[in-house]
Amino acid sequence: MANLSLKNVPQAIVESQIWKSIFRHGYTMNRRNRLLAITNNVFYHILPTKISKYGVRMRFHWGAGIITFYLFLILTFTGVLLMFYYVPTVPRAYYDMKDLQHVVPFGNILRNMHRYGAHAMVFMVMVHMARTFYTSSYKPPREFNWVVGVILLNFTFLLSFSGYLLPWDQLAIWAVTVGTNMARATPLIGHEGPFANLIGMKVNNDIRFALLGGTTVGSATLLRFYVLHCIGFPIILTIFIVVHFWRVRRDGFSGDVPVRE
Amino acid sequence: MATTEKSGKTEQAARRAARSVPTASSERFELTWPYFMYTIVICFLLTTIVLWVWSMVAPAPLEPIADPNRTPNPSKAPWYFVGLQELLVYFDPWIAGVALPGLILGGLMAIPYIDKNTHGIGEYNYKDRKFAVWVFSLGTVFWFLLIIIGYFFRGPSWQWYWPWENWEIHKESHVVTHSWSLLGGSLFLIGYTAVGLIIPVLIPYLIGPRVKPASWIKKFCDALQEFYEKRGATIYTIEMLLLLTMLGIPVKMILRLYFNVKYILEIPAINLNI
Repeated sequence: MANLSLKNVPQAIVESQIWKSIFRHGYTMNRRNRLLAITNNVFYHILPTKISKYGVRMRFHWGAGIITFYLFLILTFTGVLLMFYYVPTVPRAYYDMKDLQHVVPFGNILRNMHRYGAHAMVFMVMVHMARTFYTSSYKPPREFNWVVGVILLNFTFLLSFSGYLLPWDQLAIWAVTVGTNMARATPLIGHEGPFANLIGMKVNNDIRFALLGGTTVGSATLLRFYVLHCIGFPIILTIFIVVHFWRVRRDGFSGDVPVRE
Repeated sequence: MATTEKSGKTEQAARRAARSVPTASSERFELTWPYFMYTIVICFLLTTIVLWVWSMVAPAPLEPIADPNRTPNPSKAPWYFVGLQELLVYFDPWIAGVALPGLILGGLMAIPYIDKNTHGIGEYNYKDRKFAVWVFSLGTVFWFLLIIIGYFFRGPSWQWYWPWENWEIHKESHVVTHSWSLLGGSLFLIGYTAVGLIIPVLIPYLIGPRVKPASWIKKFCDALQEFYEKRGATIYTIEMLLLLTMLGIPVKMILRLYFNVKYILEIPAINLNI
């Protein structure tokens, strides 16, 4: 009972069974703890325990990949919150947007962050790609990860494009009309595309019809784009992000490795 | 050529020595925790701040409710597709909206398998990979140029409007365009591809032996020959076809703008217009 003073409380907590069952190592800044901080954490262990000073500089990697991934996290978070307030039906969609603007607490900033974050993510993916090109990071052994990166670029476009329709305002449906009109010119499977007449493609059975769920952008399109935007594309994107990160980890950062002969 | 190559090699070796093979205990490394974490957290924080402030000061656009009966003029795609939309002026939708995007994505994916140059991994190296850097940069600049034109300089009916011009004043295109004949168009396309593919291979053989060894023409010939020999027939052909497609876009734009050519090749029976 003698050591029951306030001074000993922190130590008592840190040495308790509960604390130790959660945190496996101390926080004292020594080399061992710093290594364990990475390897013992499920979220951090995708990172190497040490990293080259050359490759870690901002002016080398521009933080483009980090920012892109963080924007994806923000978009997931704000997107889930937006799903609470938004119903993807023609009578409600637009008025839910108005509610977000004027009624829902912080609804406006929620929506703005989601929209601007999406634009920023598309841009940052391109920046990340340029950086990767200029540092030759796509060269062996990282060829396949570059391919995965291009797939991620593609799905970032698709995610952003499918989200573009959801506000259901004039900007949304006409931008999506312009975008999906291109699909009707797809060779073979679009009814205005080359060779399409040879296999009997019409306005109501081609690729654009499948995409829109009709011959024009309508309620079926809204539902399709919503489901793809909230479930389909994010799952596919997440899978490829996992592969992307895994390959970076396996092959190492290009800034780590000396130039190969 | 020989001297520059040698000094280039020395410089490369010096660069490599400056970042010699890292070992576990090397001073070239630092611990991820906390040093790389600082970078990550700072990137996260700055992104949050920028995005938050941006969202606070600029309300996202929300136009009147969707009305299928009222088409806005112009209807613009999202900014990242506006470049492709701008290409609709020069190409049919199956090229601008399907074939070219497909080729862009496919071509991007093919880059690591086409580019056999092993120089420059993990460094900003222009010297040893001038061609690759030029092609990629030109493509990127062209992509964003089209986006800027489409986004800022196109008004009603997709006519050219300077930012200070009033969209109320209606402009019309009075250009009468024409298409080339089937024969002429086919010959042009075959000729363009063949010339682009064969000439760079032929020049070193036809001109190379006839010029002085030290002249710049000779150097140019040697560079072309090296370009081909490094790649081999298959990769050379794929790479040149992709490059010719990319360069073909401004070629068609020039034909359309200055020679009023609508289609180079027109086969209405199967909707194939180029």
